[in-house]
Amino acid sequence: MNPRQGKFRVVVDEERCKACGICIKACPKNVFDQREDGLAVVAREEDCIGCHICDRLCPDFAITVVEKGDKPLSDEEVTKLNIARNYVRSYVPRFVWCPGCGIGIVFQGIVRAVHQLGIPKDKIVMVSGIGCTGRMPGYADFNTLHTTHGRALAFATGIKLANPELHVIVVMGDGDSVAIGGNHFIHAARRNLDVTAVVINNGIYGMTGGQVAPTTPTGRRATTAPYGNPEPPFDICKLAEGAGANFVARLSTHQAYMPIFTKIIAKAIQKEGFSLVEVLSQCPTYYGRFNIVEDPYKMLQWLKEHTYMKGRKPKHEGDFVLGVLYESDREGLVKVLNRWREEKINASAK
Amino acid sequence: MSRLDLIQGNEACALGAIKAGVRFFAGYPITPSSEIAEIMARELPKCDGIFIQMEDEMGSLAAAIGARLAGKKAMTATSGPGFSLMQEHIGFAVMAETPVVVVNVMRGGPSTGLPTMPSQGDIMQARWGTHGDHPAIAFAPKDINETFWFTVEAVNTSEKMRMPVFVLMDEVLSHMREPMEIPDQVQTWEAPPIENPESPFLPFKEGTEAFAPVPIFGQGYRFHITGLTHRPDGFPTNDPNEIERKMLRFIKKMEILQSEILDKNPDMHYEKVELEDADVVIVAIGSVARVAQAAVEDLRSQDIKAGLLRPKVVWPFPEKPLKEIDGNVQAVFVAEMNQGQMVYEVERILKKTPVHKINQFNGMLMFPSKIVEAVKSTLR
Repeated sequence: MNPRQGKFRVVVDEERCKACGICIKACPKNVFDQREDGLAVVAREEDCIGCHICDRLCPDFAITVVEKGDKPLSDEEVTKLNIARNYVRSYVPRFVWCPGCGIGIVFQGIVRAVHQLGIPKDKIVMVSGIGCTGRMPGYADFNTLHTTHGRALAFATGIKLANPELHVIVVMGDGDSVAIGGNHFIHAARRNLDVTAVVINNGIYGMTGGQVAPTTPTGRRATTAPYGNPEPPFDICKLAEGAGANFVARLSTHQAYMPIFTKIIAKAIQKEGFSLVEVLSQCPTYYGRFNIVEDPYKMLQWLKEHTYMKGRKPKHEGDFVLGVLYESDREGLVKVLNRWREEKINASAK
Repeated sequence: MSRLDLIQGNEACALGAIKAGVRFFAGYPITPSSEIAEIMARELPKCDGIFIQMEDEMGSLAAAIGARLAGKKAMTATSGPGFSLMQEHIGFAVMAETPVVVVNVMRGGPSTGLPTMPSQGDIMQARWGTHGDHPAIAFAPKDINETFWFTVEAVNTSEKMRMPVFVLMDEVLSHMREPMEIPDQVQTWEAPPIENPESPFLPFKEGTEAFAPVPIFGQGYRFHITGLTHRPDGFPTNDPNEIERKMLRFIKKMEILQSEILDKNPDMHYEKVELEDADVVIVAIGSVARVAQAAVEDLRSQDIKAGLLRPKVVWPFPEKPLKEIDGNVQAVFVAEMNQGQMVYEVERILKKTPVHKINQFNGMLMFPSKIVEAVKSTLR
């Protein structure tokens, strides 16, 4: 028996669980069973080794795993200890995303990174555009702004320049950031605007029903590419690097339980200038169903199989490289404007 | 000390905005409004303000709205094609109830049209340009002095009403120069501070439609802003009762604007010139109103009792002075630098008086004689 076993409390919140089945399949110790209605139930809590694969991969913040303390805790008390849940607004119902969607996984990574950094909620502004990812700020207990399609970074430009004390995190989908919002994306990077852009790339338009995206790989199917996508996709990381971003990293949702996931997001938040974190994510409902597999857990496995860490070798053609892909130390826009004001404007006025 | 200067319309607009407290300007170059951005780029950094030239007009208005949400009074300026591109975010500012001023220096359209020539072709776009039901407020100055003061009023009204406000200029007004006295200070309106915010904070609770605090980010009361139809807490909703409640806020705003500002200051809403004994009335705004005033003088010298009604705020349209003359004058003439837009409002309001159109849309400001001839040939 593993010496860690028997030391953890595991609670599934039935109100939030959407029966995607990720936790059930991902748990290395088979702690969960699936109820008839699909919901995950904790069947063998004593087997849990506290690896946190289940709670970090849960898109709905429905699972809480905590070490047992001196006194026994009720399920409600355990759930209250869930750090990620403390970043969700009290009045928010279940997330709108489909069962097994990767966006909630990234959301959890972001709030855990903020928590690790110890930045007060009041100092964070989370901005989004339109689409599935666009709904994230509504749930987050920060200062939040859900803007128009593609324009999140333009709104963020005004926010950051008007009050540089605020940490601005911009969450966008792939279509939002590099199709309709492509112009704002490259110019925010060029200016080295001091914001953290998190692009959740699932290779398809989810909210509108599975249309082809500028990130859909050639040949992959979508409702507007019924014979497969004839066009080549964007490499969002290369685009950001080429446009002038200070920090460029790519992650995948299958990494969400690894420390590197929140560590890289935290680093991006701390970094001066424009930082981009692209997170490859699963859309089981459309991209998965049309192209790979509808099962969310199998989509995560597919992501693991088709990605590789920087410095290693890809297994297949078209695999995605992960890690911090580019970093530089150019002065961020806020500092540049302040320096300019001092050197060029105030000095000439004297 | 105030000072007397010979200044350009675009300059008066920019200086008025800064005096009114605008400390953030985002814009994109476009003739004939570019000087506004140029002056902002020069002046704002000197007074702790931010200027940024964005990558397009959508981005410009987006950045301005973002800046206002982060606590700085904000403005953008553009012309026809850019105004078209900004429509999406005009609607956003309406829905988000965020103050912002959008200056549109009207040029000939449609499309790229006449970049260097004037028009009044965007009167209806200012009212109905963005999709969905929405309120609209548009100031229409006729000279340099008014351009300055109307911009100040636009900033103040925008803050009071928590919504975008337009300043409709035209190419003639933007580029001509007139002497004007720039005051050291102007009266500004500052939204009341938010004290003891409730938790969760309700940015759109009842009673905050106008003359209310403008919530800003980073102050300790966290809230959500979205372009989706939302509840008082800012969270999106599909509940028909909540939807109606939100939509009624827009109607309420305009009722408050009418009763608390325009009815109390009719001089701010419209100007009457020689209307008391008028047999014929000309309705015109902006630079065309100056032409119309000359026409009134000319007609009076020919013993035709003409008068001028000039909306200074074109949206909401001044209904009261029109209703007062309805049935008491022989005819009303609506003179516009377009194919007829404001005339629809006049026709809607007048029930007993014949309405005639006087339109010129060749990129040239009309001459007074055109109005004089139109009036005389109708009366004949």
